[in-house]
Amino acid sequence: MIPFLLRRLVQSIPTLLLASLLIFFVIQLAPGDFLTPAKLNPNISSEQLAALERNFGLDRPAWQQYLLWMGNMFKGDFGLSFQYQQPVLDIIWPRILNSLYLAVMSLVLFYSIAIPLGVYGAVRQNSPGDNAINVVLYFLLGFPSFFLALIVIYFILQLRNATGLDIPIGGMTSNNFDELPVFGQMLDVLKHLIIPALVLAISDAAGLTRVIRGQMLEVMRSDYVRTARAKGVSERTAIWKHTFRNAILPIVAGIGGLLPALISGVGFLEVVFAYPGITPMLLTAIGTQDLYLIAGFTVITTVLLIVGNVISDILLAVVDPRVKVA
Amino acid sequence: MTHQGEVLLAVNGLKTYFNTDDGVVKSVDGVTFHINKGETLAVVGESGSGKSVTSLSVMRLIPMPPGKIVEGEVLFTGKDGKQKNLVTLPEAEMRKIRGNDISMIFQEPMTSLNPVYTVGDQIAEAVMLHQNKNKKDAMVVATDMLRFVGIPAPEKRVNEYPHQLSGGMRQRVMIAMALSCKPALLIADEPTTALDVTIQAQILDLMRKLQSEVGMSILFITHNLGVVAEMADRVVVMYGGRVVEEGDVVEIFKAPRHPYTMGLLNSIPRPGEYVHVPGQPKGRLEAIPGNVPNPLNLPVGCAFEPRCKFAVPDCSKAVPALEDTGQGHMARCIRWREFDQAQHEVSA
Repeated sequence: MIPFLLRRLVQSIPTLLLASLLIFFVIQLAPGDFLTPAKLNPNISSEQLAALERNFGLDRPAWQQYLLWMGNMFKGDFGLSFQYQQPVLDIIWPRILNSLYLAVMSLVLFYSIAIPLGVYGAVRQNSPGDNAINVVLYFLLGFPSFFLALIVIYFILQLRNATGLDIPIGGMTSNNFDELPVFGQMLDVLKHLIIPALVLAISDAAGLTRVIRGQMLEVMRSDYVRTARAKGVSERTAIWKHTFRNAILPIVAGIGGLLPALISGVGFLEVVFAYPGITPMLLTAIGTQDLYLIAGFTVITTVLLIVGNVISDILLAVVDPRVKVA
Repeated sequence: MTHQGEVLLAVNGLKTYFNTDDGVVKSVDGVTFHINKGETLAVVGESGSGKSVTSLSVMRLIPMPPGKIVEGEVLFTGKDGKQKNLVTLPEAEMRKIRGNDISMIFQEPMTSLNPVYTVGDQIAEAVMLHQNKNKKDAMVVATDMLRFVGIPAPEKRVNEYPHQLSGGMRQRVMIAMALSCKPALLIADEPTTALDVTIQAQILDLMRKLQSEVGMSILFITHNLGVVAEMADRVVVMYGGRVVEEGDVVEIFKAPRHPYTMGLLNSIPRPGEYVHVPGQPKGRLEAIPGNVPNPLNLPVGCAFEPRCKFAVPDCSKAVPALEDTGQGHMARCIRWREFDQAQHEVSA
C-alpha cells in the first residue's frame, strides 16, 4: 500500500505541472490583466500604476511570473490574491471546504436515490414502475439544475407562507448560528445543505440510475447468478449479494473522478442559493483576472482529482479481489 | 448395467415455450423421460435441440418472462421420500430443493463462479442454506468437499478467489459445491465442453467416482457421444425440442432406430477411417447436412425430415409418434421398422 501511494504521488507531479502550466498561460491569453481597470482610471497616476505593477510582479514576462509562482508553490505558498490582498490558500480553502460539504452531501443523496431506483428498474424491467421512474428522471435531467432550484425555491416559499415552517432556502447558516452549541451548528449547516444537495442529486440521478440498471441487467444474466440460484438462494440474496456486488464495480471505479466534477457541479446551486462556496468567488476572480486565485483553485482541483482517483483505486481493490493495489 | 430401481425423476409431456418479438419459440415441446435412482441418463442433441432448456425447466430456472412452462409435470422424489410435482411447487419449496435435492453444474466453469467471493464462501453458502450450519462449520464442510473432489491443499484453496484457479480446478469447485449437500440428482449441463481433453477425462473420472460414493443419479447433458458412451446408462436423443430416440446406451450405439441418431454416430471421428493412411483412399468424416430448423418455424411433420436422407413424402405430414421398438427402446420415426429389419439382416 505505501509503495503504491508513493508511486502515485510521484506520478502526479507531471500531471500537476502540466495542469498549472496550462491554466497559467490560458489566463494570460485574455487581453489585459488585473490592473487594466486601474489603467483606465484617470485618477490613478502612472507612477502609482508602475508601483502596483512592480508590486504584483505584472511587469515581468509571463514565464518569469510562472517560474516564481511554481517555485513558491513548492514551499506551500500559492501566492497572493490581487483583489483580497491575502494569501490565496487562506481565502479559497474555507470556500472549497464549503463546496466540498455540499458536494459530498449531494453525492450521498445521489447514490441513495440512484442505487435503489436502478436496482428496482432492473429487477422489474419494463414494468409500469420502471417506466414511470425513467420518465420522471429524464424529465428532471432535462431541466438545468439552476432552473430546477428556482422552482424548488418558489415552492418552498409557498410552503413557508402556508405553514410557517422555517425551511432555509439560502446561505449556509442561520442568523443565530454563533449562539448555537457545536452539535446545533452542525445540524444547522445540514439543514441548509439538504435542499441544494437534493436538487443537484435528483437533477442528475437519471444517468447513474440508468447505468446501475444496465449493469444489474447484465450481471443478472451472468452464469454465476444462475449458479447462485441453482444453489437455492433467495431472490434477495441473488440480487443484492450476487448481482449488485458485481454491478457496482465499474461505478466504484468512477467515484474519484466525480469529486472535482461535483465541485463545479454545485456551482450553479451555490449562486442560486447564495451559498458561500468557491464558485461565486471564482467567478468574480475570473472577471477581475485575479491571476493567482484562479491558478491556485485549478491546482487544488487537480490535486483533488488525483486524490479522488487514488481513493477510487483503493476502493476498487477493496471490493474487487481481482484488482491488486500495487 | 441397467438399473431396474425406482424412478427418481419423471418428466411427463413437458412444454417450455419462450415468447419473443418474432413469435413463440417452442424450445421444449412435449418431452417425456425418467431417471431411475443411481442411474446416469444422457440427454444428447445439437445446440438448440432443447436439452439445456429441459434441464433448466426441471430446476425451474427458466427466466420468466420470456420463458414459461406451459404444460407437463416434473415428478421428483426428494431426500424426504415424498414425491412432488416441481412445475407447480411454490417458489419457497423449490428453493429448498435446488442445491439440496437437485444440484447443477454448468458448461462454463470460467464464468459460473462469482468473482468477488472466495470459493470457500461460495460452497459454504449452499451448506449454510440447506444444512443449518453456521459459517465456521460450513467452511469446514467446504474444505472437506474441496479435498473430496481432489483439489490439492484444500485448506489454502478454500480462501482463494475463482480467478486464482484454473478451468479444471474451477469445475472441481463447481462439483464440490453441487455435491456439498449430497443431492439425489445432479444435473450436469455439458460440464466438460469448455475444458481441454486431458482435464475432461479427469473430470469425468471424478464424476463417476463420486457418483458411486454418493449414490446419486446424474442427468448428463452433452453433445459429445464419446462422453455418453463413457458415462451413461441410458440415452435420450433430442431434436427440435422433442425426444426422437430413447434407450439403453449399448442398444442405441449398436442399433440406432432414428436417422438423426445414426447421423450423430456416423459423425464421430474414428482413427483409420478419416486419418489419411498412405496407399488408401482418403476417408472423410460424415456430416449431417443442413442446420437445426428455425425454432420459430418447425416443419409440420418430423422436425428432422428436411435433413434426413431416408425421408419419404409421408414424413412431412404429421409429427411421428414416439414408438416402443422393444426392450425400452423408443424411436420417433415412421420407418424405424425398416431400419430394424436392415440391422437384423446385417447381423444375421
